[in-house]
Amino acid sequence: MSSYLDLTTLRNVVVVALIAGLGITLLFSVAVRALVTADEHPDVAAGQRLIAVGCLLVVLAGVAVGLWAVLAK
Amino acid sequence: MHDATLLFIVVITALTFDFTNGFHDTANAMATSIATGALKPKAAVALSAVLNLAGAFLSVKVAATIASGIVASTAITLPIVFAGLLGAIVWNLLTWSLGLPSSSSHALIGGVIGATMVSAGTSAVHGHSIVAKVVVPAVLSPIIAGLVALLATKLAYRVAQPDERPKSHRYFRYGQLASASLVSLAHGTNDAQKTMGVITLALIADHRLGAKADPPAWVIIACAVAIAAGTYLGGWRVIRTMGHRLTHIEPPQGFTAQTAAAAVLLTATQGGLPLSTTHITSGAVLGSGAGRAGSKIRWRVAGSMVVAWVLTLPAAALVAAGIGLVVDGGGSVQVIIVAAIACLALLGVWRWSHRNPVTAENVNDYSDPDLALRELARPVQQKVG
Repeated sequence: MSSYLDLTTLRNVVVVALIAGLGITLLFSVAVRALVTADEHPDVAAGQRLIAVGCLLVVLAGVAVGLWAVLAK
Repeated sequence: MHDATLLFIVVITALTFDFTNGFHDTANAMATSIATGALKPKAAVALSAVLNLAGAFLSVKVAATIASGIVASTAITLPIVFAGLLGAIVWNLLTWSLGLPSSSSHALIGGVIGATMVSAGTSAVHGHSIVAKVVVPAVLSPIIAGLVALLATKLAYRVAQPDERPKSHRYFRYGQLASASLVSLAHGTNDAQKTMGVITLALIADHRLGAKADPPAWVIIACAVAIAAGTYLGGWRVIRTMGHRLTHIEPPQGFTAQTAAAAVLLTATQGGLPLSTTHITSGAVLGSGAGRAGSKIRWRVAGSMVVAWVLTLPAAALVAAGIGLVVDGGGSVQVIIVAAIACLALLGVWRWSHRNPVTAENVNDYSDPDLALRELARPVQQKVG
């Protein structure tokens, strides 16, 4: 099997894909939860929207770095 | 043999393959967005077409990827490239007419292998490379994507709690736009490049370009336009399968499936692991189905899809080998005759598919047979209760 596949590369792909996929999902889900909370409870809306914007900015930065890494190769 | 005529036919055939690749694989990026209502069908394919067009211009480093390492480059001739491309087009249209998502790249690789075997024998085919570059990734890619999507779906449902907070669906639909766009961009970068590579290979085989030359500008533009046009036409049958027939998709699942697909696709591209976009997105859709409590995967449809995956390479190889037997060593006349017959046959498949048309208007009109049975059973249960 190992002669047919670079197992180190495979392990790296699995680990990075897991971190990227789960990381983006986690941050986006936190942002969604914060936005829904902001909609439902206007008294805490500003803080919740700030959390959402922070999470989305981190997601955007992560995606931008990922795309840059792939395209610059 | 008039090489210019032959080369012209090969280029047109390659662009036709690129076009079929576009409409066959639109589902990869947009099926879940269309299924969950994040985007109107026409708007989804238009967005995907623009991003495929843009993706095709982002990199020109994949020339000859398809052929290099798979078959001996000395065995490549224009009729062989033609036969390989035609084999791939035939398989793409057949699977499209059945609504089965299958890998266009594997069809192309199968076509090249089949045609080369007929022309130069089995020794010209690099078996080890085929297992390493095609077979092993084909098995692993849906598993990796499915695993990432499964865990991501569980995470999204635990953190955002969309079942208790239906308002969150609206925000996940916005997220779907971004993740689906990323998959479209990656698809344009990967798949348009493969056709560019094939045309470049044909130009090299015809001594119009030096060995190791980059694709000329007209090749890049033509391939980008062909894949974008195919994408805009929309492979509605495959979109329906990916969006409705495999499992019922909710917006959070659509988001996690596309995010997982984009993460695996881009990471694999960075790691130099050749994976199929179709296999990755299909695996991600199944994973997102398995990740939501109460969601049901239609294993029969998934099984048909896997059978199509297994058959793709040998079937395209067989068709290409048959075509290769006719055109190898012959002149452009044979190639023109075969191209004309193929046009008629493919027109026949197209017309046959229109007996039961799936369009932008009815792509989401899919009645879940299980749901229909439950609806039928409900009055009986109420009476009994």
